Amino acid sequence: MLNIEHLTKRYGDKTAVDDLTLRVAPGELCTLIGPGGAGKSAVLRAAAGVRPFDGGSIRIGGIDLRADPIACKRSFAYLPDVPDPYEFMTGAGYLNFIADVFAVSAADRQARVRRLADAFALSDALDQPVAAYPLEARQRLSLIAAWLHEPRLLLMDEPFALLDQKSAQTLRRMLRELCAQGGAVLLSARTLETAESLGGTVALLRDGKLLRLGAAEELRADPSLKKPLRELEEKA
Amino acid sequence: MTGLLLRKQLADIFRTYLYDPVRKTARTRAGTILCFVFFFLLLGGFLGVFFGGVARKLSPLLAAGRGWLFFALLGLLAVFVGVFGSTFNTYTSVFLTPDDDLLRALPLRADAVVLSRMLSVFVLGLLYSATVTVPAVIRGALTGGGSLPGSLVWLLLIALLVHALSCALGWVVAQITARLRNKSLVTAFVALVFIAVYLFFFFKGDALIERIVAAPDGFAAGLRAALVPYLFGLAAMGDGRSAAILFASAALLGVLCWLALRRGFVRRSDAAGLPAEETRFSRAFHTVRSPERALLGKELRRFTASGLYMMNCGLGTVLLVAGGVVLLVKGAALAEVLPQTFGGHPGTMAALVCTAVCMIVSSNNMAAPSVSLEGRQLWILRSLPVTARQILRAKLAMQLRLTLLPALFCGLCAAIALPLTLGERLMLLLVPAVYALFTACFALFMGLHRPNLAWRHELVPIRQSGSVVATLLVGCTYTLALGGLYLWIGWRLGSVPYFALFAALTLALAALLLRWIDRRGAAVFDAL
Repeated sequence: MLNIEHLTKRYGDKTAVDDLTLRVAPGELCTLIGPGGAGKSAVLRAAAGVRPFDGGSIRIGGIDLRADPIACKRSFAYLPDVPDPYEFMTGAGYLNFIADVFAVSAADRQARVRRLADAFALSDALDQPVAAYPLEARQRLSLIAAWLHEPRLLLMDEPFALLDQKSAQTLRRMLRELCAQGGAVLLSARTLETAESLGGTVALLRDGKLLRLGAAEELRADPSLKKPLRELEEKA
Repeated sequence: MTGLLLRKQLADIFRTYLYDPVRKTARTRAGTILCFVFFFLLLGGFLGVFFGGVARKLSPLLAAGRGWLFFALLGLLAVFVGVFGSTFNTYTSVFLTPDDDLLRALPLRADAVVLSRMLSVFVLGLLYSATVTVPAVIRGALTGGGSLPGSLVWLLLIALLVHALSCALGWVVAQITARLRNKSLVTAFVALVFIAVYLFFFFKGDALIERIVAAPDGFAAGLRAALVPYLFGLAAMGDGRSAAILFASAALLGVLCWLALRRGFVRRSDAAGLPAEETRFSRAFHTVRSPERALLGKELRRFTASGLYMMNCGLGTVLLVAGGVVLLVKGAALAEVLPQTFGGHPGTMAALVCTAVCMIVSSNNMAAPSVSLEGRQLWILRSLPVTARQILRAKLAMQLRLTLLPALFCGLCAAIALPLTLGERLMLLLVPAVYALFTACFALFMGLHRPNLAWRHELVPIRQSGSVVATLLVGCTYTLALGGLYLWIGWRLGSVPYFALFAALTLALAALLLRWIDRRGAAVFDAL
């Protein structure tokens, strides 16, 4: 589903992502973990086509992101670390905008918004302007928007950071359901615990490099990773 | 405690004097003092001097023994100014009160909270009405046609009436605002009404005052019949009974306001936890648009959501419509004057009107800041399956929609109202239309050349960006060249060939810019 080959991303002199190769297969959930500045957000932004990258290639569903970004973007949804929907729209207006761009039919958008807004407890606030939403409600709105066109791939930067417990549980359940239906998820998290609670594979990044890829238990069992994992827990 | 709360209220009203919203830092003491000095200079030096002039022009009434009429008329003016100045502040400080819950959590009496809010309204009403009442009192004292103690009581009574009316109108504004979806449009509308009222007084005020001074009897009879202005006039002349009646009425209104506001403050605490009305999904999500229309809708929503954006970059839309109406009404008078100006060359009238319409078109430049306004939300468009060309075309379409149709309306009105040849009439439609396309393309070109995505307040890209200033300057220069060249040498060519040539040149430039936007501009946007 997502094939990242030798990805390199630089910000001036600093190399944020250094020759990173990562594959997320259909049905797989992969969590990027690492300290601040490890390159998690840079990988997700590059994969989402939000920021250009300097080297390597990214293929989504077999399509090269650089060659046909529009076709790639039709198949995924991206959620940044700080959710920032348009403040000048109402919640419903924002969802309609996203649904229009993805050509979601009226019947489908009604059914999906009803289901998702109920799941994320946002039904009563959809006719309010986004400017009036607290940060956590903006996150929930962005999650609804992400699911609106039923993407096959989700790219999410720390999606649990702002959520309350109930919404976090809902999100976990929905991520598992997506993977069970053949979708794929690449997300980032601050701690190994979060990654563990989601299951799937964990990619430990440090200074833009992939240190280790495997199940959470495998990472814990690796004595060479004790120090970086301890640092991660301390910083989180 | 009330004093402390009053200070909080006033600090909230004048918060931009204490805090810089652009830099998001507290102002220095000197900066704050400068802001207040500027505010009082504006009140006293601008409004005070202006209304002082009005009082001076009405002063013959004092000398003629019609002092009550002098104070009644200026009282009405003071009430208008005071209420207009403080109603919206009343709405924000008394009815739009996000700190209700915070204040309820503190050991404060509801009476003290409401009283402090009402006092802040009174202070503002007093400040604004004083721009009229103080010059009137001074003029009355200098002329000796009134009673100084009476006029001071009158000043206070006016402030009390302004207070009561501001509270009532603030409530009306709150009710209207609660039912409106697009509050910025109302803000822009109110600002335009204010400009219209100001222009009316500016152009018609003198004539009205002269009519009152020359024949005051009719106006005096009207004000007597209205009673309240008459009582105010009498109170200013030292009539204790009128002052007592007015004071009792103002006090009664004040108490009623206080009771109503207190009740509202207490009740809102019960209503705060109620859920909002359930969204009607079928109605909210029944319209499906193409991605292009969705992008255009987003741009238009962005524009209409901000009064600042509308007033700074879209005033031309209103002016073009208003200009068209003015041409229809005053076309005959203009047709007599314009052909004689600037040497009276043939086609001068068409050239001047065409230049004026294009000049107004130049004031619309909403596409220029639209790129920067994406700001930190650029990721949304970046992650969606839309091309940069589609996004830029939507920005262009927004400006064209808001400029082209009003420009055509204005040109059509000119073509109908003015005695022009058929060719000149066609040019009055063609040139502004082509020029609207050019300005839209140029504004977007500049917006792409000088993007600023790191702003913290929308004021920066809308008002302070180089792209907006450059667009305005180039637009003005271009239109002045259009008119100036015609009056200088272009008239020798004939108006229709000259304008056709200019339209062709403008169209060619617009086509070049459009090509740049579609190719290079899209790449620039992708690289932002």
